[in-house]
Amino acid sequence: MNRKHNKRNIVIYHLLSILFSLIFVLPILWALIASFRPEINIFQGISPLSFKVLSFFPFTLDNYIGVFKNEVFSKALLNTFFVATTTVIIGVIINAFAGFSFATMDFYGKKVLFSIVVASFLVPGDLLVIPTYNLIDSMGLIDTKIALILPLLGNGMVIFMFIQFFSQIPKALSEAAVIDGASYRQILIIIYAPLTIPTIIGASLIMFLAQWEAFLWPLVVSRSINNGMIQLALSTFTQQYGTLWGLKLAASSLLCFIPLIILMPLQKYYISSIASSAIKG
Amino acid sequence: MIKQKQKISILAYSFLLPALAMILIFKLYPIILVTKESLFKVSYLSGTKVFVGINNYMDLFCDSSFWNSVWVTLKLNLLINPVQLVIAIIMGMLININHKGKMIYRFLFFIPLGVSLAVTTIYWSIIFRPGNGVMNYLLNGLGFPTQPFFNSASQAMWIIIGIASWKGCSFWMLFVLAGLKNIPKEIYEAAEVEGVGSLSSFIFITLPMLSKTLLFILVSDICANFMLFIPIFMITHGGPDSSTNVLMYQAYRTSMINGDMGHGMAMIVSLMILLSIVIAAQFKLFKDNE
Repeated sequence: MNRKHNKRNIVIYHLLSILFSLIFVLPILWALIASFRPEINIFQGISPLSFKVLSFFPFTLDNYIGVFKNEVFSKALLNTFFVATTTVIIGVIINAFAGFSFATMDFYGKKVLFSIVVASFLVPGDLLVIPTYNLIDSMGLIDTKIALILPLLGNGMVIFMFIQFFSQIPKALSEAAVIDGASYRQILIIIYAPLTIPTIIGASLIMFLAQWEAFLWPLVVSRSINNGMIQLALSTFTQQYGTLWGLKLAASSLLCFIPLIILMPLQKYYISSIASSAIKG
Repeated sequence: MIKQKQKISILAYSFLLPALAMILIFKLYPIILVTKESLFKVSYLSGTKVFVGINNYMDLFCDSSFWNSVWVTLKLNLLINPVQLVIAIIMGMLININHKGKMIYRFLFFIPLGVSLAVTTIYWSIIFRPGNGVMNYLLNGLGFPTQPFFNSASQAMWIIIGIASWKGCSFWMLFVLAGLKNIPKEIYEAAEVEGVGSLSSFIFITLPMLSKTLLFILVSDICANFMLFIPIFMITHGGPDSSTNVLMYQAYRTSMINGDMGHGMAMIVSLMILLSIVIAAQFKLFKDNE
């Protein structure tokens, strides 16, 4: 009886998992495969539905060549890499230092300053895009890369991750170093830095993805193609006389697979850092 | 000794300064800015700002399209957040089970994490194309009539919910998974010895042990979905018949497209207040239940 029951559960488990997997994979898979077909064959096999819908043939690379030849898209790709990398490098450094300070040092006003971090945590990212636009406008930074980078540098969640990490390290470790005459800078570089790599990777992924997926902020603040960002560049393939589906699907596939290729091997860092920020919160 | 403490304090402040300055300027100051700007009106003729007090708010309160946007925002959130939470729990439980194929499912369940909402919207807009989309073909094959999907005021919001959930559930699943991993295995083992069934162990062990995680997910999810913008901007433009015209989209259109900053800002402030009320209610409900 029990055995039969178990068997039924296993079947349900697999059925549900396969159902979810199909819902997740099929759209991406279809878009990827269709993007290797010429424009007139993009929607082949859909009605009536046939196996041709997931066939690479007739095969062509024209869509991908076209995507990279497209000025708006290729510029946006470069811009996004530049903006995201800059955000990651500066952002990880400043947030890590803030986290380190909160976790290991005692100073006047710590509680008040910490509540600033918590408050920023509670403000959803896109809510204040329009007043932030006014702020950037008053700084004279509309349509610049600086405008794309600045608002995403300070990140309460990333600070939180680093606080979590640094407070796990026993204080005795740094105290021993202080007794041995090490300065705080030496403690940071020699003792903490090597241990902190997983947190740095997790934080980098979070900040990279935030820029990679940025939509509303660049929509509001960028004007020229020189400051275009990748998610918005997708709309360049929808034109007045219709959508260039081949190019659009090729571009969409690139937009999926670039972050997936980065994310997949590093997923354990991404997941553990997201989880660590949630459990304490 | 005191001198050393002072030195440490100065060091601590200098470590904090860059990140906190960024947060203060770009995350918290805009709250003050939006509140201030919502009390002004830009004159079309001279381009100068005129203080109008709460007039912008009075205009909104008399405007039925504003109340429609408030209602659409609330309705969307009442529907989407429970849907996402339940699916995230199911997904989290599924990949937490130790069984053959676990790694493959895990890998596949993570895929939407790398897909942006804009790309998700493109894919699902192809599937749900009102005329000759994949979904309509499947429906026809099963004997159902062709559906208008996002051309219909009664269906558009569900499509938006589907798109946002496809992208969102994997993310919230991560938190469920982390929460499940934190529940000591001994509790389940003890329950099994006592002869507690799997359904009752889910209701009486898993859910209560997860309650903090679930509250966190729910609050974060509400925050995210109050700002839901991309699928509405890309597909429905708030329509048909303003059925998907959420407050965020309406605020964007008013301030950035129509250039009416005063009213746009007043909408953002309203959205902020609405969101705070909903979240405060969540916490209150949670505390009362504990």
